Amino acid sequence: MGIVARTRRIENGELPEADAIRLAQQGDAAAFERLYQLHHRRVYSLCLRMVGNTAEAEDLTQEAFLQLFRKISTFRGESAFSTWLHRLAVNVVLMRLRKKTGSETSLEEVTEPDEESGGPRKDFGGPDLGLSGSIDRVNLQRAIDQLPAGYKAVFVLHDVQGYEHNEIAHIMGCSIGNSKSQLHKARMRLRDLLHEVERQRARDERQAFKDAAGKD
Amino acid sequence: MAAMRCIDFWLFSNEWMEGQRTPAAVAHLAGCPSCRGLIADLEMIRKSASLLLEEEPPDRVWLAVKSQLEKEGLIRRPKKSLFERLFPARVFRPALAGAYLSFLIVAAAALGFHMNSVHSVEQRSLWLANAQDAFTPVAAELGSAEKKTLPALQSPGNDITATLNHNLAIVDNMISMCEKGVRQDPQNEMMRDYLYSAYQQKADLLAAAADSEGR
Repeated sequence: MGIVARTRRIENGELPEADAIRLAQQGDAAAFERLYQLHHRRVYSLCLRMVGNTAEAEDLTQEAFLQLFRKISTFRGESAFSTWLHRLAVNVVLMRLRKKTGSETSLEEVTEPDEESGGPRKDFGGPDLGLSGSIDRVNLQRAIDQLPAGYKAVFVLHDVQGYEHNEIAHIMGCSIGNSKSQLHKARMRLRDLLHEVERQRARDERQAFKDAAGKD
Repeated sequence: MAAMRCIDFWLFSNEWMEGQRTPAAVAHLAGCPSCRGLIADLEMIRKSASLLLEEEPPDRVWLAVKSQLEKEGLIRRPKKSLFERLFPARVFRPALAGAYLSFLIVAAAALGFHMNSVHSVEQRSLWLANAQDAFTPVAAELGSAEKKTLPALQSPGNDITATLNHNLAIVDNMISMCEKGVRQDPQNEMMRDYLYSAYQQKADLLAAAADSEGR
């Protein structure tokens, strides 16, 4: 393919990913841009869900793509490019979260001490609070923000971005069983957090009702 | 078979959410509102998470990435072909097409002449005289293109216009010096090369001026 035709295909967004990777490995500027265009939404969304802050998510997206492009010559296609990119992005985010918390724990250990035993929180058989019809997006994001980093990464990759456990295992460098277990713990933790939000809302409503009654 | 208790179901809920079903778990769930509530909540969380939309980062993220990659020398601009260099798209404006074409014909003739070393001295002198004549219409067409681009070059208070005018003045000065040199010594190849470059630069500058007017 001639340079003119190739450049036109890249500019029109028609260049297949494999060709863009090969050209980017040769330092082609348009190919880098094409790869960015193909993946920036997913990477940014992952970062945003993980840190819950747009400025930090932008910074992390930038860092993830810089690392990607610096290392692209080493990509040999053993795994899917998107998996490889997500692995990089998740590592960038987790490194940042670790720096923030000062934690030295590994990816697979980023769980809360009381849940290391593997069991769910022992409030089974209690009253059925039931999350109301739908979960508010803002509340869900706030709850995700409070998850330990390891749970959060698996939850975002699986339930938000739709990756399968085998892909997550590859991205996170853990076993499939570990991915399943972390996901379940994440959902259970989210359930607790969202129930707490509902309880708080109920308390606020009761208080508002009492205040209004007191005024009358 | 012993009936499944809530604690057993909760421990099994991970497998349930992964799609596993056992008769004991199904039976327990049918009779336990609390465990049904648990599964309903987990399903709701999964569904709500899948509805979180992908977000678009602002353009500045790519600009920052690109700028850093350029700084680190990791990306290069694609090389232009000879065709692209001779016919930059922005130069293809009606006002300049004629000048460019005449210019290229002269340049091609000059190249052809230089490649053929068997020309006699008479033939060479004759060609030089013709080449000199051929430059005249190029200069005229550039002058005409310049007139057409005049409104763009007269936009007040515009830094780009000021720079273009400044550069055009330099190139015009160069052209007049080279034309004078070619007239005085038609066989001076270096002078003709300079004139050739100067015409090309002027055509580029006029195209840039026409572009800036179009924006």
